[in-house]
Amino acid sequence: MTSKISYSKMVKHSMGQRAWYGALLALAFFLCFPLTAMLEFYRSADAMAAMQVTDVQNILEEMRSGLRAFLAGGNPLTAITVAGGALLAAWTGLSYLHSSRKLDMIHSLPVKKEKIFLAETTASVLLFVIPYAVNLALANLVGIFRGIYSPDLPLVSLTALAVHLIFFLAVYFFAAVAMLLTGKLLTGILGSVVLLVYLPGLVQLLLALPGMFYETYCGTSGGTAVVAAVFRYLSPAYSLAALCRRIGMGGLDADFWGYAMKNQWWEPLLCTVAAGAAMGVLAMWLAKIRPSEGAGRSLVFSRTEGIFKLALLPVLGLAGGLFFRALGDASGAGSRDAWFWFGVVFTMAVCSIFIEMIYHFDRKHLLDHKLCTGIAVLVTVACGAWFQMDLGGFDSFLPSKDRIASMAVCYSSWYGLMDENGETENMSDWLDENGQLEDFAPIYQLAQQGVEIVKNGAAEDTSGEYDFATVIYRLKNGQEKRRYYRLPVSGMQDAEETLYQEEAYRTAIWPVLNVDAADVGIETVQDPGTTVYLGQMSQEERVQLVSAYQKELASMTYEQMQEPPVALISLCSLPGWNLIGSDMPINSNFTETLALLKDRGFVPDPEMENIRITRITVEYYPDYSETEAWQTDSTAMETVLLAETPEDIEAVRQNLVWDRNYWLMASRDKFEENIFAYVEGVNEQGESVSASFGYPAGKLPEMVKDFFGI
Amino acid sequence: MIELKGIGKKFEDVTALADVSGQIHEGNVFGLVGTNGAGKSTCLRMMAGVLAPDTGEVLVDGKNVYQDPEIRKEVFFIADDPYYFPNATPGDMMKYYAIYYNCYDEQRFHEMVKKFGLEEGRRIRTFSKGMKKQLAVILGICANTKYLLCDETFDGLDPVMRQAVKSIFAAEMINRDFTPVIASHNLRELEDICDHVGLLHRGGMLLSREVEELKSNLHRIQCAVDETQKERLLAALQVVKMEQRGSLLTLTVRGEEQAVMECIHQVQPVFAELIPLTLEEIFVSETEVAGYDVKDLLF
Repeated sequence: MTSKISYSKMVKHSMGQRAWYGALLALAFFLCFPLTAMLEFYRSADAMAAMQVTDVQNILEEMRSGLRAFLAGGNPLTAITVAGGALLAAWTGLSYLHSSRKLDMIHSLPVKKEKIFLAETTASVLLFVIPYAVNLALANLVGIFRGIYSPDLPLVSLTALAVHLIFFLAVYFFAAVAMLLTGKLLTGILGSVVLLVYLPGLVQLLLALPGMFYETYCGTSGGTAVVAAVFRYLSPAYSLAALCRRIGMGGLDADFWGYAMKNQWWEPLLCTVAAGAAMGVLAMWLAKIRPSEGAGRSLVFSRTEGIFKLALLPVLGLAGGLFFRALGDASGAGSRDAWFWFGVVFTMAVCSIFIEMIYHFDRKHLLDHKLCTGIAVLVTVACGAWFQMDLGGFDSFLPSKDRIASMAVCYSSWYGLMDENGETENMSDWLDENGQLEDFAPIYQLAQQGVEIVKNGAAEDTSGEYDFATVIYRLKNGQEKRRYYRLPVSGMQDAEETLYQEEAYRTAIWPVLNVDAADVGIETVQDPGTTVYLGQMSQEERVQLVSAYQKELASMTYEQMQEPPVALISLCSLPGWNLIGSDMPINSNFTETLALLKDRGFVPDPEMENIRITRITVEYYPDYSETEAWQTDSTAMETVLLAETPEDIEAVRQNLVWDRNYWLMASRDKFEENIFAYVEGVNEQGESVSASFGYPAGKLPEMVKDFFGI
Repeated sequence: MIELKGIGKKFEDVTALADVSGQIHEGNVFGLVGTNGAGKSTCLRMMAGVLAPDTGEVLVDGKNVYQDPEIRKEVFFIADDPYYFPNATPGDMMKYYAIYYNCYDEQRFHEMVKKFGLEEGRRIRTFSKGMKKQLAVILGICANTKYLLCDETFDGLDPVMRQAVKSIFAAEMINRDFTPVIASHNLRELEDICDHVGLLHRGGMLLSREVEELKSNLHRIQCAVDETQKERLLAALQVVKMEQRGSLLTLTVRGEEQAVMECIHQVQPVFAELIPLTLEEIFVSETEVAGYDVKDLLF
């Protein structure tokens, strides 16, 4: 009577029952690994042949990289197979929980319920691992037979298997909890989706609401960003996508280990392990306490009906409100707020009925859970009103100076200076870390202007020239706040001029000045007609050039900054080649830099004197202003002046300046704002070149004035 | 012994069982009768450990059957609509149960399947309803458990098979410690097999008695007595029910057969005859005494 029940036999039986699932996964993984790898080999070989690459070692290394990338699983097909396989495993393996006939048999057996659940889970894992491992081995064999095998591939394969197994289990446990909480397959499937996407969806909503309602909102930062990231990563669906993106971002050249480490692959993995483990424990507990009579009910524990409704309705209602608000915006009909509240009410009503329909499948119960619905409505209204009326004073936030420890400012024109792709640092984060000034009076003054503009509703005021800037407050209590202000350009220029006198500020706004020259890579140098790639320089030459540039950039005065550059240089941090200075200015007084560039064969030609100009197109936008640039459509352009004859070209070319000094406000009002010239020509090598130019303020050629009637 | 100690169960707002108590002794064939919805299946599922009682507890050999899976090795539950895996054959199901019931008699299973004329390699989904029930009984018997809980198992079996199953039950009871519990809405099905019968109605146990005790203590007599003796006779007997058609009296009386007949003979009846009561009639009488219109309950 006390002899043990064979766990392995339980698992074996479950696997036998779901052999079809294993076969399906085997097919999917066959597509993911051996087949895709083979296709990739052929593609690589064809590409190499097309490029007439004859270096065999290079071809093999390219193919090896391709194989490594596929074995690492950094492709969407593998991610989808892992996530889909986990969901299917939970839905099929635990389907017995939704059938009272099956439960009559299974729960009358002399075995603990949680042991049955565990056996099903073990079977699911084996049904996942076996086809995965077999196909991975096949892909390795393909590599061996193609002669591109390397000893690190088994380790890469096993690591990928381990990582994907973690994600498989996490997704599986999320879906298992949904299956255990529900008594019908439909609600089980819906519940799985809700559990997997709820937290990322909530975070997305909480980020979208202030973005929609607050004029000075500029995304998450600091602590908020961390909380948002953790919330997102607690969903394996999001984490898996993030991890695969990180692995996959390296493309075929990715070194799995180096790349993964660089992109902190452990963040989503750690969160997934934590979330998966929590869900696993919850699933085991639910498996133990779940009553058999729950089969056939939508939700097994009737008390959870209200909880789920309460959790879902406000999120759905607010999301619906935002959707309708955006719809109203797009259509231009009615007020945005009216659309928002209509969306909230409409979505909540529909969703409430839909949720009750799912709970009961009975029209008599469509209005059940009145208390929960009432609370959900109150929460939604309070939340909507909070954002719409700015009850928290977000836009009017301006702490007194004695509460502020330091401040930083990032003008919108700087945003493109660094890579900003969600994986690496952006310029405002950089300045937050490196550009905090304790002597913040000019920035505070800017903030005051920004708050004043918001209060007075200056968003509708299009007179004058405006631009945007992010102001970052570090308060003495340790908090950090960011606001995105619309500011007059004149005010920004004044602040910039004052701030530029500070060495700390000057150093901070040029990230390249904060990196050792040995760790800076040079991507390109360019003038209007030529772009030279300098990636192949020796380290010594590179360090010499970067050091010279750093020195001359650091000593550049504000007045010098207002001059148009003669060339631009793009710099990256090594070894990842992340942009830390896009199109940085090289001015005429950067003599050492220019001399070194000359040694490399690059002599700037900022006025395109060595180019045979074939055409200049001058465009005039009478209604153009910086603040409304995005609203200007082609119909607003009065006309275009085409200069194609040598006489016309000469007439139009007068005073043209290659205005590529993006980064400082200093040169903003030095040029005509609404006239642009597009110069096309042919260089000494007979290649077509083109570039955009501008006219200094008040220096329009007569021909241009006459043509546009200015 | 299976003990029901004040068990109660509610499904949402519906009370399936309320404070049901009783005992099922070893070596008996226990019949659990009641109308549809009386709570028979719920009661059996609780005895099988499938459902947890909201109140009270079900003990099998002194152990809580819901909480202690080990004791469930002594219980095999045949549901009214037994589940078989898709595409499973009888052999597959036997192997499945053999994982959980360590004393599973596989040899016997093969023999019984053959005896019942079932094909071991045929897919169960191609079986008729009756064949599926037969298979369920065979699977249950071969598990060699002490208790076999059958929910409406005889419903759907033809008379020959019913007799065969009854014979098997009888043989099992002789050969080993075996206690079948049979739930049915049909008393006639249980009459010749049960030793003990419990009647469930509206979630409660109306009565639970030994069948022999019920039969020996309740009698129907048809007699014709002189009108002057009638009152004397009625006073001497514990009359449960009386019908009169002309001078012919039909009495349902309680008491020992011999004592009842003596009373009748004392009033020198013109004619007197003891008519055997069916289990169904006994139940009608007993439950009517309890204040229920049993005809509405059972038939």
